[in-house]
Amino acid sequence: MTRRRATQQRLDPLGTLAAWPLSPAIAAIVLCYSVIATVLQQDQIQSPLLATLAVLAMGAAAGTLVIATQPANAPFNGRMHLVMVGLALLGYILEQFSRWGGNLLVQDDFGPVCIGFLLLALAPYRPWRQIAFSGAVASVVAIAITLPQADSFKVEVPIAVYAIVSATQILAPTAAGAAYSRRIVRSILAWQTDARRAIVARTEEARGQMARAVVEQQVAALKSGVIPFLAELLERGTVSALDIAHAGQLAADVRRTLVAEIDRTWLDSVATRERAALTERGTPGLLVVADPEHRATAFRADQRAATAALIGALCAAPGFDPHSLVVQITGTAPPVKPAPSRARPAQALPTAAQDTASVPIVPRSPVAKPAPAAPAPAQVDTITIQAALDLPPRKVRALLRPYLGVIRVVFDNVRVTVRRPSLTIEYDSARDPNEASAERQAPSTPATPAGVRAQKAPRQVR
Amino acid sequence: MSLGLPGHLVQATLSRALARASHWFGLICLAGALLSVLALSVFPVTDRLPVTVAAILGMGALLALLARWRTVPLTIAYLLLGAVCTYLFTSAVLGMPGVFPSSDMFLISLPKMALIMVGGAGSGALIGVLWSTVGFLLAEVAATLAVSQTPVPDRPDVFTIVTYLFLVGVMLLDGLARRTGRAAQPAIHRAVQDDQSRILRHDFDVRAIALMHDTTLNQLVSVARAKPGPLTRGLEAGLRETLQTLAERDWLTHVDERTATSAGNDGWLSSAVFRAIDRMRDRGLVVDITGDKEALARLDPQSDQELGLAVQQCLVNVLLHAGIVTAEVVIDADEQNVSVMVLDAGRGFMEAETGSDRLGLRQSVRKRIERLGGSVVIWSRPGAGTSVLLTLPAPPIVASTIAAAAEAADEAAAEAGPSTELPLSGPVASAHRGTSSAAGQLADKPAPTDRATP
Repeated sequence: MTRRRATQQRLDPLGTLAAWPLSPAIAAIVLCYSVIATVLQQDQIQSPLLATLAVLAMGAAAGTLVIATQPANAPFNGRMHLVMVGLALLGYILEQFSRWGGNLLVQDDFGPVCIGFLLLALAPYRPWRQIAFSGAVASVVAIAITLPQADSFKVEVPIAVYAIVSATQILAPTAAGAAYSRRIVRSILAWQTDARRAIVARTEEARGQMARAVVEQQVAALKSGVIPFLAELLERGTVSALDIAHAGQLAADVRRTLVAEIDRTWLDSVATRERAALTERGTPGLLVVADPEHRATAFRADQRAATAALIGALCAAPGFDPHSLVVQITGTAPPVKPAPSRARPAQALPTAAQDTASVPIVPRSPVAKPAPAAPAPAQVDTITIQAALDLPPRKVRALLRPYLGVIRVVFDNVRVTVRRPSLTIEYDSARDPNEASAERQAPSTPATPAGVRAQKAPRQVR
Repeated sequence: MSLGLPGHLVQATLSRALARASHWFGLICLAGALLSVLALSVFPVTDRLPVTVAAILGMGALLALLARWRTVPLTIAYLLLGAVCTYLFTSAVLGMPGVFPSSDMFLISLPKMALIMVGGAGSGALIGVLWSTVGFLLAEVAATLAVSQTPVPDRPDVFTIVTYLFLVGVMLLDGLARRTGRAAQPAIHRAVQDDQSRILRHDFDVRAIALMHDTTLNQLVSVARAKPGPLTRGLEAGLRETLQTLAERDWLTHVDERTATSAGNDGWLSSAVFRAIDRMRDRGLVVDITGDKEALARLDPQSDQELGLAVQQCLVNVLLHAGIVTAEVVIDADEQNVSVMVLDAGRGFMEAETGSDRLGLRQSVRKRIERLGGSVVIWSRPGAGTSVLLTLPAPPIVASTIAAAAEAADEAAAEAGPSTELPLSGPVASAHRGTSSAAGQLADKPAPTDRATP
């Protein structure tokens, strides 16, 4: 998302959830005001049909606002913005035509005030430039439609004043909405810069511990079998047929372990972590990750974090059945190429792949053949999370609302089904074929100095 | 990235954004008022017209200043000048004979609405409501006074009333809503952090696996393909090299050169102080840590635990009261003591102004540390931040060699003085100056509930 298109809703979904009640309130004000103004000013109305249509259009604009700002429909997109502004302008124009020639006052027309309110309500959801631009367009329309009616107005002032009154009613709230949007987006972006810096620093702090843990894990695995075996061979100075068989066996074991580790994705790590947390809480459980094609590797950083947070919230929820969680990733098309971020010894390491050609390490899943160069449709990964949660559906929704709020912003097409006790959450992630390799982020604190990194795609372990 | 605002920044950020919105609303209203007055001057000009124009321009200028610096004097100046301007504008516009039928004209509401949109100093919802209410009352009084001197009948001004009610409603909603739905923010923050760690871990794993592949697997395969009998020279050399590579130190260098060359800091990572800081970081506080972190390993488990809880309380106070993003923790040690200083550049407080309920610092920090024979010193002043220095006795670890002690002494010398004069950041240095009188008697920071009134 570019900075220009940033909105509070996209940057801080939880904060926007808190502001949500404002939009039905504004919609109610708009609807009530247009009805009341129409009823009270019946004597000015020339065409009841147009007046009714005007109220209906304005009501539809208010309804669009409520629907588009619903947390379930997040994020508020540009199309809904256009529809809402279009309906509101239509309502305004119809209102003016319905009282053409009989309009006594500019200030009591509901159109400008309602448009102003509706644009103000967009502040948390739309970029400030678009709010401001909509306001500018609406005020041009207002001026254009007010000036020709100058003869019918009962207050005799220069016609510029009529234009000022109608335009100010639109522009003042619009400017407020745009200013809010701009300011809050800047504040959140500033905070995120700080937060990201802090996260990098924090990761760096634990770096040594992590590196040592990795080495310890590997050494522990080898200490039981391989190291004593090799040391004994060296000491003895001879190789027996039994040693040869044993070496073959050990090599197969090591290879199997390596392949398993290479095939691990972040989702497996998340499941391992949650399993450990469940055991710690005294309710050991079984978390199943089904991702045979390793589609998880295509997820972006924010998608990974949001999914991990959701899974964590489910596992920690009251009434959660620790044996019930299943996370599955499927998709529309097979991966075009093997996901490049999967762990493979980089060829930058000098001694790699010298003498092992005869003992290929084959990944668990067969390597997909390179797809033909034809423009493939955007590939969609669908993640399905199933769990059993013994809670009333209302409570389940309340519990998950903030997490789903974030999920909705970073994924598409979120579906939630709650049938006590089963809960199913599904959502899609569309991969941009052009970004398939470019978007893979290097860690902010890479283990390898940048200059040493292989620029080419890592090679398959063989 | 969905790193939303953490709880402690929500109020200040929303308040700033709402004030900005109010100011723009007000500026547009004033622009409308100005243009209307100019347009009306085509009509027979009232003698007060130049005065009215000047007043609106002045009001607009003050509002622009207020948008830039939200201070109490500017807020008050704006409210007062705005009331005068409203009076002048209303009497000038309504004073035009036979133009306006009554006082409930949108034109008349313009400066009044601008006055309500004062968006004054302070960051609480209630303070905002208070300023706007003052603005509303002043506007209504000024307008009523002006209307009473014209022949036009006085009618209630719906625009102003609705604007006022709406603004108050929005401010209260923002003030109340921040309490709900925010509980998940730390979890999401944590998830982003974990993801970052996972990437690094993954990178390490890849390198470890590569090494494993190059050494162990290669060697096992060579053995598997050897002929029974004595080891060939090549095979023997290969085995020797592999076993050497698998020596832990070497492996670590392969996995992460930086870790292998730097001294271990696991003592710091396993300390309670680190865990306390980590928890606060999950809540969105950015904590910079400097100084001799490893010194914390010298504390016995109980002191470590208590110091961790005390530091946590200090950081909670920063979250609750300081209204800022970052805090700094400086760790220092000499031969007898280990000290931790928690600094923030936030609002600060005046000892005399704090309430009687001072449980936060008194119980959670001071009692805790003093029970273990340590001491607590607090410097603070409104606007100059707060520093809390916690010192605990900690004998040097016997195992640590003379070299370590010499290093500690060197550091102490480099910092030119005892532990109370740590390398200080700006605001704290000023806190030193500002509260030299108060530093003697140790101040207590109030309990969180004290200063929660927005």
